[in-house]
Amino acid sequence: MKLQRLSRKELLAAFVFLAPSIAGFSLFYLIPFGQSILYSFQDRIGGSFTLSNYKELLLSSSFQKAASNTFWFTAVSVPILVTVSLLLALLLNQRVFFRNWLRTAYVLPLVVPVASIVLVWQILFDWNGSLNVVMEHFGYSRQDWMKSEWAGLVIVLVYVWKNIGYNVILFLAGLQNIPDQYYEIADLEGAGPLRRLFGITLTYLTPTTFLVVLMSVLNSFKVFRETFLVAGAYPHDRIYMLQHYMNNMFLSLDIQKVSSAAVLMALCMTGLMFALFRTERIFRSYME
Amino acid sequence: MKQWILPLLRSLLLIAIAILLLMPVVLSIVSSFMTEHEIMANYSMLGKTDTSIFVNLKWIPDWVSFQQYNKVLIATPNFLYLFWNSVMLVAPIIIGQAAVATLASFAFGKLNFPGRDGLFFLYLMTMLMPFQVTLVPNYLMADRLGLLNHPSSIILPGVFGAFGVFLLRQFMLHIHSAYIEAAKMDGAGYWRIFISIALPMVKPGIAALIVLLFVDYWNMVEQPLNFFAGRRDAAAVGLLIPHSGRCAWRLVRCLGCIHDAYGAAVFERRTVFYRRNPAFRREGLSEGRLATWYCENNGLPALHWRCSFSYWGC
Repeated sequence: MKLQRLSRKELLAAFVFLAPSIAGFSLFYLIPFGQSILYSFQDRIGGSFTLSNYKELLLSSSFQKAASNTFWFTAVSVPILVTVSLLLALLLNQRVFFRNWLRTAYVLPLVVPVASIVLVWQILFDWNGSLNVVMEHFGYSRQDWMKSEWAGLVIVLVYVWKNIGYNVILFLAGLQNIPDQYYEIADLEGAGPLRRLFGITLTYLTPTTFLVVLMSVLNSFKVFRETFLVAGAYPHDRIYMLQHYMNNMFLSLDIQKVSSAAVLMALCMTGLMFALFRTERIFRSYME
Repeated sequence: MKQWILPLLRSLLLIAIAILLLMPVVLSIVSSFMTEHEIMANYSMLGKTDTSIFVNLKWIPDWVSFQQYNKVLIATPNFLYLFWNSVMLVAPIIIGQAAVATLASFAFGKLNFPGRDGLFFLYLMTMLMPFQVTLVPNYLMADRLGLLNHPSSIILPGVFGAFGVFLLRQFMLHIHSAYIEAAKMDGAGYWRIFISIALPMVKPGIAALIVLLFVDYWNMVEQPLNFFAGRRDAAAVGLLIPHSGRCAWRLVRCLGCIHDAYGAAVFERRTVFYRRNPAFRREGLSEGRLATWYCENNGLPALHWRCSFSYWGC
């Protein structure tokens, strides 16, 4: 009886804490997204039910290209980014000189305007750019980096450059949240550095890692801005992403195609997050 | 001896990485102090495939010139005005989202209620969707609520963004349940637990959230463009920066550097699109015609796609 009363109190509390967020969230996100789903099944806004949008979408070669590029970009760049930034954060969390300065330096690329940095990418990777100066100097033939198979690599580089600071902040915040006592106890019990890393640091970092992975995926979609500004709406086939596709469809006012592409994307994201959620829960049970 | 040699090596490695990461930023700042002439001499061959002249990567300008800053800050005060507009848009979003998200994330992270994980999942989904997906329904919603051409059409969706909830929930999960159980034993209510336990413990998270939100929303371009169409004065700074016509470069750089101190600016991508898209050029559609066509075909209230930003003269 008492237990039930308590949980009802908890339910009420949860509702009060959530109310403002849920109200605004449904109004500005949930309902609009629902409408997008609706549009994806209509031949025009307010039209009758149809699956032809999906059929056309899946048959379109530019959608296939965009989807596979996006998939590969995310699959390759996210693990690289997460690993590199975790290593950096672990290094920074130890005894180093100028720690605060270094941390600021890593975060700086994030706050620099995309517009002004894009010009630097052009200076580096253009046909007449600096990288080609170096290539010629060492006797290799020059490359048009953004208009060849290399473009994918360049974009991965830009993405890692930009987001590394973001992830390092998050990882550092997570690392500082691990109580020192855990390490002291581990020392008393004679745990080696590797044991400490896996047994304490990485285990207690799980919620942060979960966050970082999701953020990296999210930001891997935002790299579109740079790609777009460097290479335009129709870049080399290698870096034609889903957002290019959606943007082009949106601008040619094909709302139905945008919506169905979005729904398909949402389905893939659901799968991905489901997997992440599961992993997180398994690790969280270790922690408690 | 051995005590400081390892930290020193670590520091050197980290410093080397930092220098590598900072190079583009430094280059950007340095060129903002160059004169027009110098920039053209060093970088004007970009984007041309026929020339055999390479760019000349230059770290130190021959002449340090404040000419561009003068142009942006003093000769054309419009920039400062727009800058203030940006601040007035971004500040309420940051404060609002931090407040709403702290409350909600406490419920998601530390309370038990049915449907909690499902609801959170929905938050995540919408957070991960690209902006283009919900643009049209969002516009309709703003119209229905009578928010078009009003700053709140940007601020409100920002305040209820899912990102804050998501980020802070992670920090809430770090709080050990034992603290909360103990507080309950002592007879503390949920509000009390929130204020005295959760809030102090997620402070680093809130700080991180503020930084990240700032970066994200300072970069927003699409929203002001679509919801403020026709209100020149309300456009955020980002909208003012012209597309990368070669002549506008210096200004973009210069604006960029001023912005660097506070956040970021992006130039408008739709304009770039219009200018580069061959199909658009071929058919000679104006944005106005595009909008009319769109409305006629979809029975929407008149969408004013007209961009509300001015070009800097070249």
